[in-house]
Amino acid sequence: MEGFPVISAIIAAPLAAVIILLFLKDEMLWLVRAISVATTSFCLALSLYMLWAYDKGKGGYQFVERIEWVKSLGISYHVGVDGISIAMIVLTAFVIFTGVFVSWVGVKQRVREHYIFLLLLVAGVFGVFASLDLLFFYLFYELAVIPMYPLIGIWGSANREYATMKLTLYLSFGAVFALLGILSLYFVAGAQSGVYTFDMLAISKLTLEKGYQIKVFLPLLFGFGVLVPLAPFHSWSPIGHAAAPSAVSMLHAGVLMKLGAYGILRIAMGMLPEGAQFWMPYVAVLCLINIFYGGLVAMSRKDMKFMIGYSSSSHMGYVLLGLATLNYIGVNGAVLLMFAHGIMTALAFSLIGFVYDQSHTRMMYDFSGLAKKLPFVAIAFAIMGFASSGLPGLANFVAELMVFIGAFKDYPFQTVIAVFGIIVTATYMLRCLRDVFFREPQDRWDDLRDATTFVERLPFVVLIVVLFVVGFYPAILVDIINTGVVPLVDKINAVPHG
Amino acid sequence: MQMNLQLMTPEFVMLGTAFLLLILELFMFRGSRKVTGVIGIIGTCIAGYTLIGAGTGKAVGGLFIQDTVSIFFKWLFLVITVLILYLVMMYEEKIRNWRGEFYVLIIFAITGMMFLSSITDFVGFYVSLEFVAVCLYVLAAFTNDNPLTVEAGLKYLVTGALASGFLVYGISFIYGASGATGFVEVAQSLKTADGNGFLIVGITLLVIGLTFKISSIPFHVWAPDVYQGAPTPVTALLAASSKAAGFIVIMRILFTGLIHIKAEWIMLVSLISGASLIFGNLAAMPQKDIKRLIAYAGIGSAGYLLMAVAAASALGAGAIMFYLLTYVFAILGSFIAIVAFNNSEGSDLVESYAGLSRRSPLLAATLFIGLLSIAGIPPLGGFIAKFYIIAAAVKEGLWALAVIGVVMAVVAMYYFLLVVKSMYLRPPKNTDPIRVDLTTRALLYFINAVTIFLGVYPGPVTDWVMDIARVLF
Repeated sequence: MEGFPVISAIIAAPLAAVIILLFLKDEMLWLVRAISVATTSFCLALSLYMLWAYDKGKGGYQFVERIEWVKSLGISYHVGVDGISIAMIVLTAFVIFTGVFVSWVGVKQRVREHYIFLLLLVAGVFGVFASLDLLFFYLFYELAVIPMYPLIGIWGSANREYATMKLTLYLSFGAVFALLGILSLYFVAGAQSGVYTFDMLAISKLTLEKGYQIKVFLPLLFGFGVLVPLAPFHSWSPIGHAAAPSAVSMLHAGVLMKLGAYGILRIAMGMLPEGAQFWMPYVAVLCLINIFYGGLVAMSRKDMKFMIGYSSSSHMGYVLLGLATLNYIGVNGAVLLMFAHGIMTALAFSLIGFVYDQSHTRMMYDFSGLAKKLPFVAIAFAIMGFASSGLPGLANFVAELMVFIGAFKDYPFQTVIAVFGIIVTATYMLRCLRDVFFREPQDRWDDLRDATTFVERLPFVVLIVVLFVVGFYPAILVDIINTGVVPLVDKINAVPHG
Repeated sequence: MQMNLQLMTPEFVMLGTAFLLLILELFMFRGSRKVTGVIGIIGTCIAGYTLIGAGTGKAVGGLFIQDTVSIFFKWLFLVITVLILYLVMMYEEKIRNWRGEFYVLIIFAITGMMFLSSITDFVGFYVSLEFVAVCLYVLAAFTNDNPLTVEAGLKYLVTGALASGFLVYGISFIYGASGATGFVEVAQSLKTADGNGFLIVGITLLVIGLTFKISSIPFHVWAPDVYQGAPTPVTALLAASSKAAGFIVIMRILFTGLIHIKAEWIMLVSLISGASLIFGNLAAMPQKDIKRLIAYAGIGSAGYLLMAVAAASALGAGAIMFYLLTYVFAILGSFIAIVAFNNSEGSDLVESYAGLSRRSPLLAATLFIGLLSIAGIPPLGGFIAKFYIIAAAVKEGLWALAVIGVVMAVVAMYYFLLVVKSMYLRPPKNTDPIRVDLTTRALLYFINAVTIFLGVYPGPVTDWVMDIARVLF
């Protein structure tokens, strides 16, 4: 496949599908679903191909494509992947592939429009992870955010209009600050080198003045941090998760939150090494709020989706801690955790959505003993809960372990506290498992149906398999992530400390 | 004295069309005047044809200049004319009397704006401006059976007259300080002058007087009432072309005539820009009527454009032109959808748009694309325009304005999403589809395609506009 524009194909396939869907009729349900499945399978296949074909020995950015877009401003459509982006693209491809099936089961009205917005969103996400141009990064980012508004607003559950407005405004608010940072970077870097360009690679080659790096790091950290969500700008996130339909929650928690962490990693840390050294210790403190506050709130939630929502912001705290270590193993762990958490949380939301679509309640106290009626769902949920609380053999364990090992050297105090966060996670996950799936069965849930058909089971099976594969053989991802992490961390540590 | 009247051919064609229509009007019976609109559109197309490959130069002894900037704006005005005349044809039923004259006055107003884009002199500027204003005063109050319209017309007239007074007074001060009325001569004589009191008073009065046309603070009060009360095609005319005309004038006067003393007006323009951004966007949030909403949003848009004026650079001037280009298509697409909706439902309230995406996906999509483009959301044209403006401001170090600008972009997203919410999220009250005829459909597809194209592949257009903008500096 030499010369085939793999990345452009991954980004363009969903957009092409959107255009086809626009011309179909609402009644053609099968065709609509078939096109969506075909598109996302195509993206998944290509992303796995990239994982396989990426030359680890060579490293750096591969599959690079570049087309001039606005010459006078130095903007170009410039895409390429390194190890970090490949991991994220594979994650996205898995989540959207399973999400399409989850929507197949869950979404009953306005199906065609649902898939249109879903595919638009995912094209944006793929674009962000592959962009090597700052402006395209922003463009794709907004393309991923805007479809969220109708997706949650139309197909969401309780409180959806408030939730979707809050989410859209928060995310855009963060984004415009990141844009200001990007613009400033553009002009300062341009003035220094004489070539005005939004090209990330060109800008990261420059050595900017230290005071400036520290100044411009802040809007970028804030802008992308809102998306992570970094406390105290996290309040949009659980409520957005809770209101969104299953497939959107999956994408949202599984992938969209990773966009923020990826932005911090790629743009803020990648281009401003001295800024990273100055600010990341503060992030290491803030992320404790995420871990602990998020965990404790998750413990107090009765609504399962809210619980997973807060648990997500708690887990993203570990990711931030990993990034803050600024060493190989910690950053590797953070990226792997983004992947593992994305898969795990997608599984969680798809399972909860599956139950909710039948029961129309997500309150833990409404349920008990579902395992009798829904053995398959119960087993899947248990695996998810174990993964979430870091049981060995599942992907999250490896990732969290790497984060802790990486963090212990520089932040022993934070690490100790963070490790206790795992106990909090285990508490609410196991309690939820007990309350919902075990104990005495109730008569009112007699007509609940287990996941029996192929379409219903496929997403759960795929996600669980991924969790196990990465858990038992993490090298499949870590080796490739490492090729992206090493140059980045080397660059940060090349500048003198202090 | 060089006459070079051939440079004014497009204007003459427009005037000729208008007079021809007035004469034809004598021989027509009461009833539909769609034929007037069609002849008007044909006349506009002929004017456009004469503009292809038009030479540049000066006419009537240097009072009229044809350069690439004026040609760009004339193209813009001609596109607006075609769309507005089409809009009037859709709207015609609601005009009881003098339908033919309605078309003619619009053509006259646009002709005046075409002259405005070629001014080189304060006298020519003032005459052209009043020519436009008189047409617009009449148009704003045209359907005088509606009390809201009468109120709108009166408000527009009174504030317009007041703003005119500011302008003349300001011009007279500048004449006093420089001894000239031509922009180039003024610039030359001010090259050595330091900012004395007379000049500052003159500039202040002049800039404040100019804010009337672009509906920014402090002369913004007319906008919401007039936008709401005036016949919708006139609202569209005010929103699209009045703003464009205002900004070409501002660029000519400030960038050509007063560029050597820019330190004196940048502060003033920045203040007006920031205040308009904040006021317009915040006040748009609680609006229930979509035309009022667009009026307040328009005050905000004027704030963005003034930010680019305050940047006082070629990048800023290019950003203004590109913004106006995207704005024209976004706003006229939206107004065509609004008129089509009003023809069917008789309401302009945002809540009456509930469930529009079910009843007419095309109208809903047009408003979605148009309004979000104005809000500045990628990948639509409006985003690139706002991006250029913010970039111009950041480049000149106008950080405070840039921060206000991006924050207000999020506010704008909020109130435009309220419209989207009504259209897409709420269930419709009745589910009858709204019929849109074939020409309107085609036109809307075209306009939406332009808005998306300008956002997805802006390169050639922005490069072209930036090239043009360098003429001003």
